[in-house]
Amino acid sequence: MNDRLMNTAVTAWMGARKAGLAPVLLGAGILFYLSLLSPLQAGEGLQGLMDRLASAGGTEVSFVEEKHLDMLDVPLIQKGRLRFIPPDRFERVLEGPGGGRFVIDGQRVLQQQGDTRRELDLEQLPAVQAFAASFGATLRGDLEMLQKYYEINFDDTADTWVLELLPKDPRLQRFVTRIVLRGQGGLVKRMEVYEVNGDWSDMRLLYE
Amino acid sequence: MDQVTARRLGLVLLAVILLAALAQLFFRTPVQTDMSAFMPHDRDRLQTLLQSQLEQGPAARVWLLALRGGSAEVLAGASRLFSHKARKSGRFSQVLNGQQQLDDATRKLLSTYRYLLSDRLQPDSYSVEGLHRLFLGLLEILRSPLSTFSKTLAPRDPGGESLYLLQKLMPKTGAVRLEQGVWMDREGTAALLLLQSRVSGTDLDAQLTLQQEMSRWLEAVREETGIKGLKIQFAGVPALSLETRQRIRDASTRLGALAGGIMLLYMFLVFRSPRRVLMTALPLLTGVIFGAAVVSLCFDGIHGITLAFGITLLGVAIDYPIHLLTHQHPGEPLGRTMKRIRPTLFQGVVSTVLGFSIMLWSDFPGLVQLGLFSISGLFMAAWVTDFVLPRFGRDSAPGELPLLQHVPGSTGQAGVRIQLVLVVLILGLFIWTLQDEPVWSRDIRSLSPVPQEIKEQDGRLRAAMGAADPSAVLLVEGRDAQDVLRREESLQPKLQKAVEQGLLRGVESAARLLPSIQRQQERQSWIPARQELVLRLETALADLPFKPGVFAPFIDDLDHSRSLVPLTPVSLQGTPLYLRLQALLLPTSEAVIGVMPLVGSRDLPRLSNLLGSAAGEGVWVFDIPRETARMMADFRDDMVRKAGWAVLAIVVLLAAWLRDWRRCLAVLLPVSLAVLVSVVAVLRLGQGMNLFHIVGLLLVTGIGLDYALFFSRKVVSADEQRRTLYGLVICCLSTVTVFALLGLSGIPVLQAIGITVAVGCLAAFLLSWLLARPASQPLACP
Repeated sequence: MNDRLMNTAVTAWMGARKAGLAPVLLGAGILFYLSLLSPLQAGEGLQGLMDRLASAGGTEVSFVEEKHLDMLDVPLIQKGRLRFIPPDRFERVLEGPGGGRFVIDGQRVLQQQGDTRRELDLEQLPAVQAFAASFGATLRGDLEMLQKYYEINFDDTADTWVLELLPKDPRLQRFVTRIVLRGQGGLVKRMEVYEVNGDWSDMRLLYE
Repeated sequence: MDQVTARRLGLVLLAVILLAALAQLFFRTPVQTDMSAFMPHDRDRLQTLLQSQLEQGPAARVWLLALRGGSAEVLAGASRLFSHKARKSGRFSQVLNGQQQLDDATRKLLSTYRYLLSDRLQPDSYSVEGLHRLFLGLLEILRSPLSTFSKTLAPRDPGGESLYLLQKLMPKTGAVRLEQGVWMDREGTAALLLLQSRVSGTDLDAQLTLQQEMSRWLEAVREETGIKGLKIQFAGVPALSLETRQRIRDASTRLGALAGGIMLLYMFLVFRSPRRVLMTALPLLTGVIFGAAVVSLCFDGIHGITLAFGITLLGVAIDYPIHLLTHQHPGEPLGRTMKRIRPTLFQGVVSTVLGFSIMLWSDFPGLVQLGLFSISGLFMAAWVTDFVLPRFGRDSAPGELPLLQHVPGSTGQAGVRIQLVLVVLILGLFIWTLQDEPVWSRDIRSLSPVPQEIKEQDGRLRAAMGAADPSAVLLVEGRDAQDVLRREESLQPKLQKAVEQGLLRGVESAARLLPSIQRQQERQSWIPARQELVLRLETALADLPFKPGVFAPFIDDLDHSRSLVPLTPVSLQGTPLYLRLQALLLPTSEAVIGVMPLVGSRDLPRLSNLLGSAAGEGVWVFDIPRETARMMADFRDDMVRKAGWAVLAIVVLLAAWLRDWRRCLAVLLPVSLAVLVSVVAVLRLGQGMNLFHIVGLLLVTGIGLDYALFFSRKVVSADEQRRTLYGLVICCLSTVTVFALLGLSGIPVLQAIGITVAVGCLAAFLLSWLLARPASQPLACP
C-alpha cells in the first residue's frame, strides 16, 4: 500500500515539476508522509492487515511448536499441520502415533487423543473462548472480535508485522499474560503464548 | 294424621340428609385425580413395585420442553432465562438445558472424593506401571492447546479424575447438540429442556399447576427478551397424561351437554310439562349428590373418574321416574301408581344394586369408590322416586300422555318357537365370535385418546434428548440404600454388555452417581501408604521429563483420600446430586427400591436373559405397558369371577321374590342374551374387551333387569301393558341415544362404554319385549 502511494506520489511529483508546482506539492507530500506515521493512522494500518488476512481465505500449513513448561525439564517439541477453513473452523493435527487432533468449529471444541474424544462448548468456557479468539479472529481478520477480548499493540515495519494481544477478560488473565502473533503480508508466521506461571510456547508456521 | 306426620318427618329427614350431603360435597370433598387409585392395592410385590415406579419413578416425572420461534441465539437466551426461573422455583429436582449444572460446592466435594468415586480407577492404578501410564497420558494432554487451562490441576490430579467425574455426572446429552451453550435440536430451530418435577407423575392436578406455571415463565421470558413469537411445546409423560385427561374432559363436556339437551327434548315431548320433566331429573340428581357425598365421607374425597363413571352408571335411575309417570292412569294420584309398580321397581333396584356390588370387593380403590357411589346413588334415587315424586305430581293433570295412543298394546308375544330360535341364534353367534376374535384387548395403549401424531412427536423429542424411556425400567430391591447401591454395582458389567450388544443405549442409576460405601473403601484400599507411594512415583517418573517434586500435591491428596469417610446419600444433602439420588432410590416401608431407567431399550426379554439369575431375585426388568396390561387383565379376571357370584345372588333373589321359575327365566334370559349381544358387537368391531367394556356391561345388566322385570310384570289391563311398553320405549330410546353419542365420541374409553351400553340396552329392550311371558294370560281383563 505504501509502495503504491509512493509510486503515485513520485509520478505526480514528476508531472508537477514540469508544471512549476513543485514546491507546493513537495510541501503537501511531506505533510502526507508525516500523517502516515502519526498514531492516528495506526488503526487504519491494523484494519488494512485485517483486510489482507480476511482476503487470504483458508490455509493449510505445517507447523513446529516448542512448549516450555515449568513442570518439565525439557521443552516439548511437536510438529503437525494446521488447517483453517473460513469462517470459523480451525484444525490442528499432530504428527506421529496417536497424534492428537484438536478442532474448533464455531462454538464447539473437539479434542481427540488416542481413543479419548472430548467435546467442549466454548460458551461454557469463557477463558478458552477468549483464547481461541486470539488466532481465530486473527485468521478471519475479525478486528471487532479481537478488540473485544484484547488490548492490541500493532507494529508494522518494512515487510513484517507484529500483533501483541493483552487479554482484557480477567478469566483469561488468570492464565495468559500476552499472545504475540508475527506475520508477513496476509500470512501469520508465528504465534507465541506467554502464560502467568512463566510457561511459554512458540509455534512457527512453515509455508511451502 | 300419624301417617302424615311420619311422612313429614320422612321428608324432613330426606331434606336433612341431602343438605348434609351437599355440605359434605361443597366443603369437604377434594376431587382426586391421582390415577394410582385405579391401580390395584395390596397385590403382589411386583405390582406394588411397579406402582411406586409409576407414581414416583423419574421417567414419569420428566417434562420435555422445546422452545421455538427465534434464531438459535434468541432461543439460547430464552432457554437460559427459562431454566433460571425453573431452578429458582424449587419445583424441579432437575432442570437441564445443557448449561453447566454443578455448583462450586459440589465440584469441591467431587474433587475431594475423586479417588473414592471415580470408576476409572483399577486395583493396579497405583502400581509403578499404572502410574507410568498415567504420567505418559499427562504428557499427551500437555501437548494440547488447551493444556494452558487444564495443566494447573495436573500436579494435584494428573489423571484428570475431577474433570472425568464432572463430565460423567453431567447428564447424558444423547443426540442433542450444544449450540450457544444450550441443548438444541439438529436443525437449530428448538432449544430443548428436560425438567424433572418433584411431585409425582400421577398427580395430574399438581402437574397441571406446573404446566401453567411454566407457561407463565415463558410469558415472562417473552417480555424480558422482547421476543413475542416464542413458543413452547410440552412433551413427556406428564404432558401426555394431561393431554389425555383434557381430551376426555372436553369430549365428556361436549357430549354431556348434547345428551342433556336431547334428554330434555325427549322428556318434554313425552310429558309436555316442565314440572314433569323436572321430576324425571330429580332422582338422578339427588342420587348423584348422595352417592358422591357417601364416597367422599368414606374416602376423604372422590376420584374424578369415579364421578364421571358413577354418573354414567346412575343413568339407570332416570328410568325410575319414567316408569312412575308413564304408568299413572288418568286421574290417579301418583301415590297409587307407585303402589302398583313398587314391587317391580324395587326388584329392579335391588338386583341392579347386587350387580354393581361386585365392585365393592375390588382391589382397586377407584372401583370400590365407583361401587359405593352407584349403590348409594341408586338407593337415594329409588327413595326419592318412591317417597318424594308422588307429592309433586299431586295436582298436575295426571296420566295424559299425548303419544300414548300410537303405542301398540302388548309385548312382542313371540311364539315359543321364535323365542327358541332367538336364544340359539344369539348363543351361536356368541360362540362363533369367540372363536373368531380375541376376547380381551391386549394393548392398553389403544385406550389412549392422544393422537398418534402427538405420541410420535413425544417419542422423537425423547430420543433426541436421550431421555429415559418411560415404558421400561429396571428395579432393584435392597434392605437399605447401601444394599441397593451394591446390587446396582454388581449389575453394571452385565448392563455394559447389554449396551455393547445394542440392547440399550444406557442406564441411569444411583450407583452411577454415588458408589456404595464398600466400593469406596475398596478404592481406598488400593492406595498404598505414603512411603510406598513416594517410592513408586519416583520409579514411574524416572525416564519422564517431569521435574522432581512436581507431584507432591498428588501424593498429599492420595494420602488424604485414604483417611476419608466414604460418602453416603445423606452426606450429599443440599447438593443437586441429592435430588437426583432421591428420584433413583425410593424408600418403601421395609426396603429401598433402586430405580434404573433404561435409555433407548430395544429387546427387554433378551435383557432379562442377559441379567440371568440376578433377574427375579430382587432385580426386575419392567416392561411397563405389558405389566400394566397384565394388571388390568388380573383385575378384569377378578371382576368376571365376582360377576359370577353376583349373577348367582341375583338369581337367588329373583327366585325367592318372584316364586315363579317361568317369570324368572323371562327376566334372566333377555338380560343374559343382551349381555352376549353386547359382547358380540364389541368383539365384532375388533376392539377386544377391556375394563371399561365391563363397566358398561354392568350398566347393561342393571338396565336390562329393569326392562325385563317390567315387561314380565303381571298386569291387569291392556292399557297398563301399553303404558309399560311406552315407558320402556322412552327409557330405552333415551339411554341408547346418550350412549350412542358416547360411542361416536372418538375417545376410546368413552367409545368402549358407549358402544357396550347402547347395543346392550337396545338388545335388552327388544329381547325383553320378545321373550317376556306372553301376556295372553293376564289374571283379569276389565
